[in-house]
Amino acid sequence: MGLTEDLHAAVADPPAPEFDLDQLVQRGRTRRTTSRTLVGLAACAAVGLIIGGAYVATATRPNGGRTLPVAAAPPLVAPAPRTVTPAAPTTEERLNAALVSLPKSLHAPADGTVQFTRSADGVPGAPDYFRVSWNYHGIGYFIDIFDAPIPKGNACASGNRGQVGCERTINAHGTTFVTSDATAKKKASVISVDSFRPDHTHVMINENASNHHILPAADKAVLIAASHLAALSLHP
Amino acid sequence: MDDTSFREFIGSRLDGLRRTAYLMCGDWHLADDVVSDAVVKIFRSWRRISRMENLDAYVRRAVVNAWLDDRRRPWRRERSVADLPSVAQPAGDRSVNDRLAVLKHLEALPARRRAVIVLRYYCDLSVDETAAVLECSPGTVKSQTAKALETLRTSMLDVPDLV
Repeated sequence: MGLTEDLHAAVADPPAPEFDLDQLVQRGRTRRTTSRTLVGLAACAAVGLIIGGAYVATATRPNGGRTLPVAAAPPLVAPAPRTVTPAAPTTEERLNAALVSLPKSLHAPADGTVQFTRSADGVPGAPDYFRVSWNYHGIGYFIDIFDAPIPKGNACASGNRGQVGCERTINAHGTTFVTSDATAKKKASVISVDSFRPDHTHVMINENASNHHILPAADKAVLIAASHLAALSLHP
Repeated sequence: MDDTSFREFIGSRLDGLRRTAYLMCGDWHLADDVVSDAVVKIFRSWRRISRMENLDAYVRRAVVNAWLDDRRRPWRRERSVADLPSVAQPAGDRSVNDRLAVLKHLEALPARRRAVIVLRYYCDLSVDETAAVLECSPGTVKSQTAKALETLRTSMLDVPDLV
């Protein structure tokens, strides 16, 4: 006989099975119900643990997270009215509030869509400064405010600015430098004003038309006036 | 859940599954246990299993796995005893002797090789079908078959040559 025949012969007359299909189905149902119940119980236990954990976290807070019995009793002495001192505005909040006082011709959005942000240009140890920028019909406006003393040297001295036009003015507002790319043959498309104030605030305002436009000559005076705004100060 | 389809399917295959399990484990009681476990497991997931393409392979795999799991249980392991059990004397009936001899030779094989022989030469499955049941590669089935047949051949059993 071959292997296949031997194998078939070995199981030729099996005894009656010791199980019944109905019993097995019943066992399967029971196990399925049990496993579902266990899963349900485990889910309930997990939810209970979460709720219990949250309760414990609340109860262990100072004051127990609930009203103390003493608080329920009427006070013998009327509590003194609390004086609420409004928190002093941050530098950013002050500078943002000043944006509305900029000359209208600079077209600074007054709806809060642009805001001063504190920045250190990502350089570790570099001092913070405040920057805001916006764009109006292709013309970019940037205001940077630094904490810096009035420079003693003349940045507009010959050789410092090359072909770029540069003017320095010293008056009660401090020292103001105005630079532009205007030449004898070309009108300005970039104007930059650096105002160094006696209170160590350095306001730099830049209007940049990127060679696409010619900036009106009047913009120089507008930018200077803006750089002298008292509200744009780090040390009011 | 309507278990009509389950009863129909398993009912028509229960006998074959019992015989397969018996050839693997060599004991009808154990074979019934193995098949019972496998059938209960199949019933619990019948809704998912019934949508499978190769349902027969899955059911055979469930039986083989139930047997392999059962072998790993501590109470199935061999243990030494003080008194040897009584040994049955060979009967005069040759067919009974042959039957016992086959089972004895099969028992000498490692579990998975035994499963390979049963699936291939009793269930008449191809190499690929056997590989699907045992969740291994066809190459593994071929090598396991060759080794198992070699063992059986040395036991003087009339085994087929590998094709």
